[in-house]
Amino acid sequence: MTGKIESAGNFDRLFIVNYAALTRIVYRVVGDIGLAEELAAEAFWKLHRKPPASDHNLVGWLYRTGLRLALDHLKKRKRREHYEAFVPAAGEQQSPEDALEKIEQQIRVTQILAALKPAQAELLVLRSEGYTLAEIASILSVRPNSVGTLLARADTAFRKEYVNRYGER
Amino acid sequence: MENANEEEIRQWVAKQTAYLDPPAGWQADSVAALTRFHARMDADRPAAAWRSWPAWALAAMLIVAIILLLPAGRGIAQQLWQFLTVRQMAFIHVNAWPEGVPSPQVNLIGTPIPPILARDLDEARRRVRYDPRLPHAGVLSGSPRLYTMFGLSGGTVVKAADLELALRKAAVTDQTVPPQWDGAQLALHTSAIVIAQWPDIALAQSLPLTLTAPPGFDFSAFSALILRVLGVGSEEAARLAQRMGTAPPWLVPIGRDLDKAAAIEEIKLNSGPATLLQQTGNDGAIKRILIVWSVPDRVYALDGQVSRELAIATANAVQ
Repeated sequence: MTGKIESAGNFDRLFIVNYAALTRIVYRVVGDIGLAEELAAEAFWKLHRKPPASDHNLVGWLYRTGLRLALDHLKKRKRREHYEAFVPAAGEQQSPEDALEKIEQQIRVTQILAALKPAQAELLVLRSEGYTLAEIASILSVRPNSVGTLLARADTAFRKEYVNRYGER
Repeated sequence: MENANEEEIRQWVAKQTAYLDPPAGWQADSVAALTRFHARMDADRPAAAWRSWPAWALAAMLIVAIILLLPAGRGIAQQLWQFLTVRQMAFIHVNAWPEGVPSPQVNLIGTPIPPILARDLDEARRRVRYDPRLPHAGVLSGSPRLYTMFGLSGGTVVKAADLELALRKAAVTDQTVPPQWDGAQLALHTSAIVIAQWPDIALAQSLPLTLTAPPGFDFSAFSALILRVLGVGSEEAARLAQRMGTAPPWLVPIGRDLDKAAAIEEIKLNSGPATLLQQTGNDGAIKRILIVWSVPDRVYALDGQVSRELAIATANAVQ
C-alpha cells in the first residue's frame, strides 16, 4: 500500500525490528529454521504486496499472518516431513534415544496445535515464546482482560486433545 | 491429571510447548533476511512494471482510439503528412458503433518495446529529452521505480464503404463520405514515455500527442461524421467539430454502456479538468482507478489500486 509503512525506511525498520521475533514464533510451529525464515519473510511479503486496509496494529497483523502461514503449513505437512523438520541441530549433544524421544514429543505437540482452533494455537505459541498477556492481546487484537480466560480454554483444549490422542503422560 | 486444576494444566501445557523452543542461542539474521527481501522486491518489480503495462496499454489505446474523432484541420501541411499537436483533452459519451458494421480498426503501430528501467530521474531525462514530473514529496511514500519507453503510435485506415454503411445504420441521412477519404492513414503518436512506478500506483507521462494524416485531410468533417455515427446530434457534432478547428482537443469517446462497468466522471484537478475511471468490485471496494489529464506540455495517465482520494491527491501533486 502506498501508505505509511510502504515508505522504504519505515518498512525496512519494521522488518529489522520484527523479523527475528516473528521467525522464532514461526519456528515454534514448524520446527525448522529454514522454513521459519521463509514463512516469516512471506508474512512480510504479504504486508508489502497486499497490506491491511488500516495501518492500526501492523505488527499484530504481521504476527498473526506469520502464525497462520505456519499453522496452515503444519496442517498440510506429511508425517515424514515432521521428522525431517525436527532433526536435531548440528552440535546438539544428546543420545540417539533422547533425540528420538524429543522429536516424537515435538511432533505430538505440533500435531495438537494443528488440531486446535487456530486462535487457540496462536495463544499457546505466543505464551510459550514468553509474551505477556497484554502483548498477546495486542498481537491477536483481543480484549486484554479476556486473554487469561482464552488461554485457560486453550490449555484445556490442548490437554484434552493430547490425552485423546496419546493418553496420560 | 484427571482432576487437574487450571494452574496444573497450564504448567503441563507449558512443559509440552517448551519442546518447541528454538535452539539455544539461535537468532535469525534480520539484516541478511532484509537483503534477500529487497532482492525479491527487485525481482518482482519488472513484473510489476509488466502488470502496469496493460494499464498503460489501456491508456495508449484510449489515445489511439481518439483517432476516430480527431481534431480539425489546423494542421501544417507537410510533404507527406500534416501534423497536429493535441494539447487538450475532452471525454464525450457516445453510443456504440452500429451493430453489423466493421468498426474502424485502431492498432498500435509496430511492436511496443517493454519499459526499460532507469537508474534515476537524470537517466530518464536523458533518455526522453524532457523533464519528467513526479508528485511532490509527502503524497506517496518512498521513491518510485522509473522506466522509460519509446514513443507509442497508433493508427487507422479510413474505409469509406464502412463509414457509409455506418451512417445508414445510424440513420444519418444528411452526411456522405467523400470518396477521397478511402485509404487515408491517420496516426497518433506519443513522445517517449516515462513511467514512475510505486507498489500500487503508476504515473505515465508523454509530451503532447502528435497527429499525422495525409495532407488536406479534413479532420473537422471526418470528426463530425464519426460523432454522428456514434449518436451525437448534428448541432453538437458541428459545435465539437468547430472547436476542433480552433483548439484541437484530444477527444476520447466513451461508450455509454461503459458506465455500467466503471464509474466515469469529470473531475477538477488543480491543473484543470481530468477524467476519472473507477472500477469497483462487488463488495464496493475500488479495484482500479485511472485518471487521465493533460496540461499544455504533458499528457498524464495515472493508474492504481488505491483510494480515490489518494489518486486525486497524487494527480494534483504532479509538478
